Amino acid sequence: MKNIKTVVFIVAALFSTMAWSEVAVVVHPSNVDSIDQSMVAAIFLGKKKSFPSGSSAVPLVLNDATTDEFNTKLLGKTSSQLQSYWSKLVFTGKANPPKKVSSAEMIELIKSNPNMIGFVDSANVTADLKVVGKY
Amino acid sequence: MKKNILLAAVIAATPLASQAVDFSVKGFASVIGGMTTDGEEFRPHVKYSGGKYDESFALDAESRVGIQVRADITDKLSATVQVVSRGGYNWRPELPWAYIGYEVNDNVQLKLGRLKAPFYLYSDYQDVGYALPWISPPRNAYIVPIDAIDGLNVTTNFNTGRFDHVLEAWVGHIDDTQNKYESDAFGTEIDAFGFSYAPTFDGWLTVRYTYNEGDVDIYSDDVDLLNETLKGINTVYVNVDPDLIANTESKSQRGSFSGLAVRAEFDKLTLIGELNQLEWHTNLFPHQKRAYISAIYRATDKFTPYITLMKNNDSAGDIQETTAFDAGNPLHVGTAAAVNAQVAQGFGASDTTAWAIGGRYDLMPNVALKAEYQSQSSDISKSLRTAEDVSDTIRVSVDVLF
Repeated sequence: MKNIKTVVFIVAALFSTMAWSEVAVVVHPSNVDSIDQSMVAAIFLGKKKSFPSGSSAVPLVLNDATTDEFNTKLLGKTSSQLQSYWSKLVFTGKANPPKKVSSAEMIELIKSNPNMIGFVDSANVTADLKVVGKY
Repeated sequence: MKKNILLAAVIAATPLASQAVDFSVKGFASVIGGMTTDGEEFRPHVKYSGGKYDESFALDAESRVGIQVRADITDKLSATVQVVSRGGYNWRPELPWAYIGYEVNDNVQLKLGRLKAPFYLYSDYQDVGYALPWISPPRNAYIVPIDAIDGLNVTTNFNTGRFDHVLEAWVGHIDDTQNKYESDAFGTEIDAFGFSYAPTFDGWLTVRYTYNEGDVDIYSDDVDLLNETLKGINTVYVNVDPDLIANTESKSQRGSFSGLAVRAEFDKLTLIGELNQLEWHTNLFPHQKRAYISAIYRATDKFTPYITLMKNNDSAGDIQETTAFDAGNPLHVGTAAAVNAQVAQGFGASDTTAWAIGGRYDLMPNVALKAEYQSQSSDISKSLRTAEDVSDTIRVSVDVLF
């Protein structure tokens, strides 16, 4: 019983930490576009396929819980709503959802490709990345 | 025709196949079980006559599984094939989608090959139960029994101020001469085209209008026999209404499908309505006017109950409406009565109303559970075809993405 209480406490503590963290939307340092929240949402929902400058935009998402936080905060959708949204586009051939990568892969890909846009936990931002917004 | 297009699609994809082609494989499945509670029969899909519910619980009437493979050959060129296997079609594989897609730019997309006709608001992902708020779109309004086009679709998206617009046009051939789905009494072959226009205001209010027209060749011994009989009567007795004979020609019957849909998404409430009409430019077949309105309420993040009201207003094809019909001529009256009886046997008028109450529960991010109770009643005095118009049905489903 004590153990269960401990587990519950730890889980609750984890969740409260997560809720306090911030998501940093990041691009290649050479990207000079001004990218606001609605532009980020449009790119990650497949509605816009290029940056304001005209170069193509390739979104990436993380394979961890930060993506849920991003979905809720920036896209305003629960994961079920987002699954439903993408299944409509996928099974009609209109678009594929963003590729999932690890946090390390995300940083590596973004800093080496000016077309990519992604996000990381704001604690993980490195000097190789340009932050376009924290949410 | 269809083989040529599919072959062209394969050839177009082949030379590049050795290069770094990006493949993605996705799937969906719906396991749907149900039964009627009043001993009547309910046919949940106009196309697959193999799928029926009756008084014993059945899992195969609507259950289906689909796999989609998409190959992104270049940034702009892709090939997509979707295979669906469903209980209502004895689990035989079908190809609702098999096409080459080409993105001319961010706003214009071309698709060439096997496509699903975009008749309704939910045509495009009608099979993907997970993407639907209901177990299935309201059955009464999804009325065209054939929808597999071999042809070309051009879709454009553009934006003006607070409106997002989607304009879609298609042209193609529908070959169901063998009547392989047994969805009707006869086989058909159709040359058809259609378009739709759907503006969305501020992301929450969408209105969609569509018009589709086809030149239908009917492969039916019954229709041919009727036509020959009328011609024979005309030869012997003369003066049978020429329109009446033309109405029973089995080739080049022109039919049209039009639809108006509205979807309004508020904070927690979504209202959806469609008014769909299937009409024939002769009087051989009935004119079907079908509508529904559905209210879907997001009670919690996971639970979305809904209620749907449905209404059919079908008029039987009436041979007496033809211009040269002479009510004083016993031969006209007798022939018209015989023809009308024959037509009514196949279709008949129906004045059906129905309601449904159900809900969706998001069990996991890729699994949804649904349940629905539907009750249909019909003014049976107007129709000889009652079995599918009067029934109370209960259904449950599990929709999965993988």
